[in-house]
Order: sequence, then C-alpha cells, then structure tokens
Amino acid sequence: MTFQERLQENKFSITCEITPPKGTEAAERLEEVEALKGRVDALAVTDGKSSVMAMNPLVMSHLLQRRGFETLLHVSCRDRNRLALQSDLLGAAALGIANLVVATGDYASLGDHPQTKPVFDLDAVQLLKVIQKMENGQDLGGNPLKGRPKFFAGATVSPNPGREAALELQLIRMEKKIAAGARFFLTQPVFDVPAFSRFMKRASAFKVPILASVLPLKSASMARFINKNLPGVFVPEAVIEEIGAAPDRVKASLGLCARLVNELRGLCQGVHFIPAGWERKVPAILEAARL
Amino acid sequence: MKFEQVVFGGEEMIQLEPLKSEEIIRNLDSRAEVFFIGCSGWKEVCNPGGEAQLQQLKKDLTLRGVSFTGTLLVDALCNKGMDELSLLTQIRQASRARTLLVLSCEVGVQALGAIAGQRVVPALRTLTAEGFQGVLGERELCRLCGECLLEASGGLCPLYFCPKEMLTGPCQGAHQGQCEVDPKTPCGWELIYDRLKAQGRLEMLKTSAEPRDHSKILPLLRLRSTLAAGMK
Repeated sequence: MTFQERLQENKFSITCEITPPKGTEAAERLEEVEALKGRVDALAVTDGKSSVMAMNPLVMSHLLQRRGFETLLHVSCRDRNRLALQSDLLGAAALGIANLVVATGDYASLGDHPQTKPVFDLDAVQLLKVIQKMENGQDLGGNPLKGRPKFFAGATVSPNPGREAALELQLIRMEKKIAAGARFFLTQPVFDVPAFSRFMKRASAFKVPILASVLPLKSASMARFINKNLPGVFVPEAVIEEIGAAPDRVKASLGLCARLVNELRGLCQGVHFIPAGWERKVPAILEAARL
Repeated sequence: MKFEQVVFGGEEMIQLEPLKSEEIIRNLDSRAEVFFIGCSGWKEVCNPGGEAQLQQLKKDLTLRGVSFTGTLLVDALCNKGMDELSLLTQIRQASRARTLLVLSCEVGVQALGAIAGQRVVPALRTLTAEGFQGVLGERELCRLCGECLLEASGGLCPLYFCPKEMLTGPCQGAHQGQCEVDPKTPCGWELIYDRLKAQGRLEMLKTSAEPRDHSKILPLLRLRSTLAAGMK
C-alpha cells in the first residue's frame, strides 16, 4: 500500500525524516536507514534543512527509492526560482517520485552559507498552485507540457506558533494551501500535547490528514539549542528538566518520545520522526511506542 | 486610531560606512596625485562626514604616504551640474590628479565618474537602504516593485516587512511574534494581521497573490542613461 493509499484509508502512518549527506557519500545514509525498511511507511528527504548545504534531495530520494523505500521529497523555495523549481518537479516525476512536501524554506542567514543570495521567487502556496497547473498539463507560463507530472503534494504547518494571531494565520494559510492542492500536512515538532490538541480541534475541520512531527531530545542542551535556534519550535521547561535530571539520558529520551507518540495517536493521522542523527534509534522508539 | 509603532534603528535614510585606510590605499593604485573630493551630505538623508571627516582622513592617509593635489567639499555630489561647477573652482588641482578619492555615497561616486576623466575611488561604502523612503520620509519604505498590493496587506508592505518577501505569509519561523531572521524584528505578517484585524478586514488574508513579475524591478530603461560630460 502506498503512503497516499494509507492516508486515504485513514490508516495511522509513520514517516521518518532523512537529511542528505554533506558530501558525495550517500552510502552511509542508505545504511543508517536500512533498519527502518518495513517499519516506516515513507522516508521524507529534506531540502537544505536549516540552510545547511547538502546533497540534492531529488538525487537522495531517487537512491532511496532504488533501495525499495517510498519517499516524500521536500521542495523548498529558498534556493530556486520558478524555472528551477518546475525543472526539478519534472525530474522528480521522471524518476517516479510521487510524494512532495512543499515549503517556503528557512532563511539563508540561519545556515552555514549566510552570505548566499536568497531566492524565494515563489512561496509554498504559489508553488502548490504551480504543481496543480503542471498536473493539468501546463507550466506556470501557460506553455503545454509534453507529459504531465502526477504528485501527492503535502505541506507544513506550525501548530503552536506562540501568539493567538500567529495561530490564526497558520490556520488561514493551511486553508489556502489546501485550496492550492495540499493533500496532507507535516507539523513542526510537537512537545506540548494540550496545545497540539487545541490546534487539532480546529485543523481537523479541514479533513486533510495531519502527521505530527516528533523530535527525540538527546539532552537538555539540545532542547535549549532548539528553543534558541530552530524557528517555530519550542520545548517546554518541564520536558527539559526531565531530560536533564535523568540518569540514563538516552533511555529517558526514547521513553519520552514513546509517551509522546502514544498521546498523539488519538489526535492525528500519523507521526513523522525527525531523528537528527538518531536514525538507528528509531526502531527502538517504535518498539517502545508499540508501533 | 493608533497602530503599533515599529521602529527600526538609524537616524539618516542612507547609512554610510567608512572604509579602513589600509583598504583605501589598496584601492588607490598609486599614492601620488590624489584629489580628495567630499560631499556635505543632506540633513536626515545621509551623512558622509563633511569637512571634518575629509580632513581627518586626509591626515591619516598623508601619514601613510598618500600625496594630495587638493581637497574640495561639495553640497550634493550626486548632482553632476553641481560637481562640474564646484570642480571649476579647483580645476588646476583636480586636473593634475591621477585619482579622485570620493567621500560620499556611491551615487556621488558614479556621478563624478560620469563627468571626470580620472579614476574614482570610494572612501565610503553605502549600506543598503532597501528602497525609497520619500522625500521627507520617516520610517516607511517602498521597494519599488511595480506591483503594489498595499490594499490587500492593510497598508504594510510585505516586501519591506518580510525578509523572505512572502506575498502569502507568514512562514513558520516566527517565535513569539519575532522574525526567524532577526529576533529583534517583529514578524511582518503578524503585523499585517494585526492591522487588518483592527480594520475589520481579515478576509483580505484569504486572497492569494500571484507570483511576482521580477522583470518589473529592473531599472526602467530611461533611468539607465550613461550621460558623460567629460572633464578635459
């Protein structure tokens, strides 16, 4: 069953994020995720995540698909103008990559090449519309395509952005993204279940599958780093204290993760793991959460 | 009706940054026969430093072996007519020089370059002002994009307030109302939301802007003139 079919049949789905290597050695990444085969429904391949230069996710996706994984290809608007974006989409379709996660993208100054020229020719809503147009046989310029791509496109949403106004804006944007063709959503990492529950009360009205992102915390200092540096994500103090006080941090972290997954099960249509280096520990989390 | 005031730093519209003396000397291909021309600047628009900065820099460069044929301070070096008239007052000293060292914004450097025969070397860097601020302006800024959508954004320009120039914002990077790119600045789209809410026009957020026509931001052909009244 494909990822799309699973979501359409309302089956709770598990995906895992993978970041392409900073270098040509894709083999190491492929080896790291081997243990996830059969345990997760798809691997989401990031596109210059946090504006750190890495291998093109289109290529990484292709290599993963060749190894038998289904992939979700992240497409960021940070680096590519409308020509390049459409060009990549045609390439993805030619390689049989069906699922997309469309995002506006992190700002360039946050990463390891802060002097780069940011593009942002399109934003996520506009790109989703372009995808729809291409699926209907035309590029953005209105020119006919020889061979139309067919995608299952999703987008992202921030369930706990802070101010009330920010949450209203996220929901308004979610609606716009759905009108533009988004068929599923991945959230920003969730740590605050009551806040997520409040978000879901409103977001579930849109009747589009939502997968909550889960980010295992390796340490209290990682949590503080996240609070300081990761846009749109916030770890509550109570959670930081729990990790910091635990004698076996890894065990505590995996336990916390499993607990979180179980709480999220009843609230949304799936879970999206962001292992951030702990790819090999994801099976243990799945075990602990009995997934 | 009082709206939230958003203040960005800086007194003048155009911020100028002096180059270090070592850098200036590297850029002068010869330390001999330099004519130093400076701009008085314009109140609240720009401040190149005036006579004081000119003399101080001249002193420092002289100590490092630069020899000057003369100095001159001009009001508004960006005006070529003004430049020509002013240079006439020191025509001997200026024409003897191999290089013109220019203490002004880069508009002045280009204006001088258009009328003078010598090589022009800037002594200041013009930092980005990002756009047009009006003639007696304060904090508003126009990015001169040619596709205004201020009626849909509550009168706040998303190209000015959003570093990602999102037309259907916000992104997901804002934290507690502060922008992902600079935590000291508010999220532009949250400001737009607040403004539209106060006006009772939140439905404007349901509209989606078309992708921008970037060909509109190239300078209009008629502005790209390369007039040159050569200096003999």
